[in-house]
Amino acid sequence: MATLDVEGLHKSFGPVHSLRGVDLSVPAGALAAVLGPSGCGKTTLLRVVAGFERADAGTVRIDGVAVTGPPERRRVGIVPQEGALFPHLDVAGNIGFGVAREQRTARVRELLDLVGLSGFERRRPHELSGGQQQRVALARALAPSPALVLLDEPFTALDAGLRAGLRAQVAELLQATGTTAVLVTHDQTEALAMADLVAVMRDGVIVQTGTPADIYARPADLDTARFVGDAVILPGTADGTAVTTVLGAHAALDHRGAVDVLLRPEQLVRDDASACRATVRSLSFHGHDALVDLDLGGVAVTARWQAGSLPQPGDVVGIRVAGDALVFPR
Amino acid sequence: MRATLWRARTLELVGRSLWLALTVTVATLVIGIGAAWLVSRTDLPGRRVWRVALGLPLALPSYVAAWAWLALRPEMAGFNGAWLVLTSVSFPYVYLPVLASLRRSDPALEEVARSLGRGPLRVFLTVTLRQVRIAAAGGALLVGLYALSDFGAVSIMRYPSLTHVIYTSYRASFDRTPAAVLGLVLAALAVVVVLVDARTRGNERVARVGAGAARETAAVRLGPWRWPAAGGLAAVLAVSIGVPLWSLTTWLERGRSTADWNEVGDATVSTLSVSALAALATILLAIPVGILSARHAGRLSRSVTAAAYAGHALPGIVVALSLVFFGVRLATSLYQTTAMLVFAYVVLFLSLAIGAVHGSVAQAPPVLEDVARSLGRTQAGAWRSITIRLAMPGIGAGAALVFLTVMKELPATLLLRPIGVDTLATRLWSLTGNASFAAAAPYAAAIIVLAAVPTALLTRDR
Repeated sequence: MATLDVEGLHKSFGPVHSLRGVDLSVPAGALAAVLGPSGCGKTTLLRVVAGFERADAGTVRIDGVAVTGPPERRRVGIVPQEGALFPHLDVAGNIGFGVAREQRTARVRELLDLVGLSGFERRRPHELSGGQQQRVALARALAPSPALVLLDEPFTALDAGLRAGLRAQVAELLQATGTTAVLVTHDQTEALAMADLVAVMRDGVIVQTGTPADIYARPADLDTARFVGDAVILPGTADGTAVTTVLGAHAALDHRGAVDVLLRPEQLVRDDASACRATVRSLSFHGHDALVDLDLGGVAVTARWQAGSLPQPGDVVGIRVAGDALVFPR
Repeated sequence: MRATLWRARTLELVGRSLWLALTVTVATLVIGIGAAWLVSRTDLPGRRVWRVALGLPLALPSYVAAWAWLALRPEMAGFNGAWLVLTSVSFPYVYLPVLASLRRSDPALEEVARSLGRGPLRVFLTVTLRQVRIAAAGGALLVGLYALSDFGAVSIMRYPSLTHVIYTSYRASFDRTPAAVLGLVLAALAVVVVLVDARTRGNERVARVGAGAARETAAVRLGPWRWPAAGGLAAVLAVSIGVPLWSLTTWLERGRSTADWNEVGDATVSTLSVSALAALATILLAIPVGILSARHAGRLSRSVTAAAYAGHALPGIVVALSLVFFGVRLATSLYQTTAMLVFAYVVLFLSLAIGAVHGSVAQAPPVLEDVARSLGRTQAGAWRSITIRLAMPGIGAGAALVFLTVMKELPATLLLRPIGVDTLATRLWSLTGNASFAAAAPYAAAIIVLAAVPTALLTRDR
C-alpha cells in the first residue's frame, strides 16, 4: 500500500498547455477516479505519473518519496484502454512478463485465480473476450506487486452489459489486494460507482476533489454539476435568507441578488396538492424510471420519476422541491 | 574536368540515357497500368493466374535477360535491345503498385460513373486512371531511376549510355577524372528525376470517402476482346520471361558438357555468403533507424531516413565509383575488401530494409512498449522483447528483399569485389563480354534459381 501525492504539475506540448498546476492526493489503498471530458489533460496526468512524460514543473510522490526515474523503476502498473495485451504471448506470458523468472509460475497461478481465469494460461489474447482481456491486463499490472496501478479508461471499449459487472469486479479486486489505484475516465457513472475519491478535472486543473456523494450533492460550480449528472438550473433572486425561483422559495443564506439555483431531477417530486403547476411536454422512459420534461410557465425543467404512475404528455401536474437547493452567485 | 563536362559527347551521353529512361518509363506505364486494369477490373479469363505471373519478371536481373536475348539474337544489340530488356523486366514496378491501388479503391466509383451515362472507355480514362495516378507515378519514378542507373543490360547490349561509358572510361585509362565527372552528371540526373517526381505528384487526395468494404467486381465485360487481351498479356510474359528462359535452357543444354561446375559452385557460394552478410549488416542497421522513424517522427529520424533513401536513388555505379576513389585515396587498407563491398550494398539498399522495418514497427502499437516499461523493462528491453518480436515478419521480409537485391546487383560488385572473388553476376558478365554464351548459361541459371527462393517468400500471401 502506498500513497500518491501530486503537487503543482505543469506540462505543455508546444503551445498546448495540457496540465496547469494539478494537485491530487490519494490515500493508501484507495481507488481515485480522475473524471473529465476528453482533452482535459487526464491522460497526460496519468502518463506523467507513470513516467512516460516528464513534467515541466511539479512533483509526484509515491509513499512520500519524489519519483523522477524512468517508468521501469517506478513500480507503477498500467492498464491501458482495450487492455493492450502482448499479442505474441499467451495469458501466462502476459501476466508473468513483469515477474522475476523464479517466481513466475506461482505468481501467474495466484493472479489467474484472483481474476477468476484459472485454466486460461495457454490461451492467446485473441481467443479471449473483451472482458477477459481486461482482467488479464489487470492481473498483468498487479503481478509485480506495484505501489500504484493506473487505469486509463479501461472499460470504454466494452459493451454496456459487461461494463457494470467488470467495474464491480475490478473495484473489488483492487480493494482485496489493497492496491492504491487511479482510474482515468470521462464516464461519470463509472467514476461515481467505482471510486472512493473523485477528482473532477477541467482544462488542465483539478477543480474539485471529494467522495462521489459529495461531488454529486455539492459540486463546486455549475459546470461540474452538469458534468457529474443531470441538472436543473434555474435563475433566481436572493435576499439574504431565501431565494425565489419559478418553483417557489428555497432557503439560501448569505446570497443576495441574481443567482443560479441547482436542483437534481429527482428533487422535483410530483405532488398534485402543490400549488406549483406544470405541463408535461415529453417523457424519456428508462425502465426503472423516466425523465419527464416539464413546462413551468415558459421555463423548461426536467424531473426524474419512478415508473408506475407516469403522466401523459399534455397532462398538468403539481410539483414540489424535496431537499436543499444549491445556490451559485451569477 | 571542365573539358569533360562540356564536351559534345557528354551531352550526347546524357541525351541517350534520358531518352532510354523516358521511352522505357512510357512503355512500362502503358503495360503496367493496362495489365493491372485487365486483371482487376475485367472478366479476363484466368485473372488470378495472370495476377501472379505478371509480377514474376522482377526476379529476372536485367543483365540475365539481356544476355539471354543477345545469345538468341545478336543483332538486337543497341538501343532496341536495351529498351526491350529494360521494359520487359521493369514493368512490374508500375504494375504491382497500380494493381494494389486498384484493388484497394472502390469499384463502386466506376459503377456510379457508368450509371451516370459514361461508357467503359471514358470511365477508365476519367475515373480509374485518376485513382491510380499516385501509384503509377511512384512506379514510374522507380522505373525511371532503374533505367537511368541500369548498368548490366545496357552494357551487354552495348548501348553507350552514361553508366556504360562511365565503366569503360574507368577501366580504359589511368585518368579517373572523366569517369568521376560523368558519375556526377549521372547522380545529378537521378536527383532531377526525383525532384520532378516530387513536384508533379502534388498532394491530390484519392482517399475513399466513407467506410464499407471494397468488393471484387468484374465491372467491365470485354466480350470479343477477351481473347486478344489475354493474348497481349501472354505476349508480354513471353517477351519478359518466356524468351529469356527458353534461350537459357537452349544454351544450358549446349554448354552443359563444357561448363566448369566447380567454378559455378564457388561463385554460388561467394554470392550466397556476400549476399547474406550484406542482408545481415543492412537489416541490423535498419532496425534502429526503422524504429526511430516509426516512433519518433523528429528532425533526426527524418534526415537519417532521407539519407538512406538518397543512397537508393543513386545509381549503383556512382556509389561504387565514389567508394573506389575513397578506398584508393583515403582507406587503402579497406579497398577491395569484403567489408567495403558490404558497405556499398548497405548504402545502396538500406532504404529497402528501413521501409520494411518501418512499416512493420508502425503496426505494433506503441502502448505495448509503455506497458512493458511499466512492468520493469528499459526502453531498449521493451523494443527487444515486444516491438522487434512483433515486427519480425517485416524484418524478415526486409532481409529477404536485401538478400535478393544484392544477389542481382552488378556494377558495385564488379568494381568493389575483393581480388579473386567472383560472384555469379560477375562471372556471367565477364563471360558474356567474351561472347561465351554457352559458358555463361550455368551462371544465369544459378542466379535465377537462387533469386526464386526469396522472391517466393516475398510474394507469398499476397
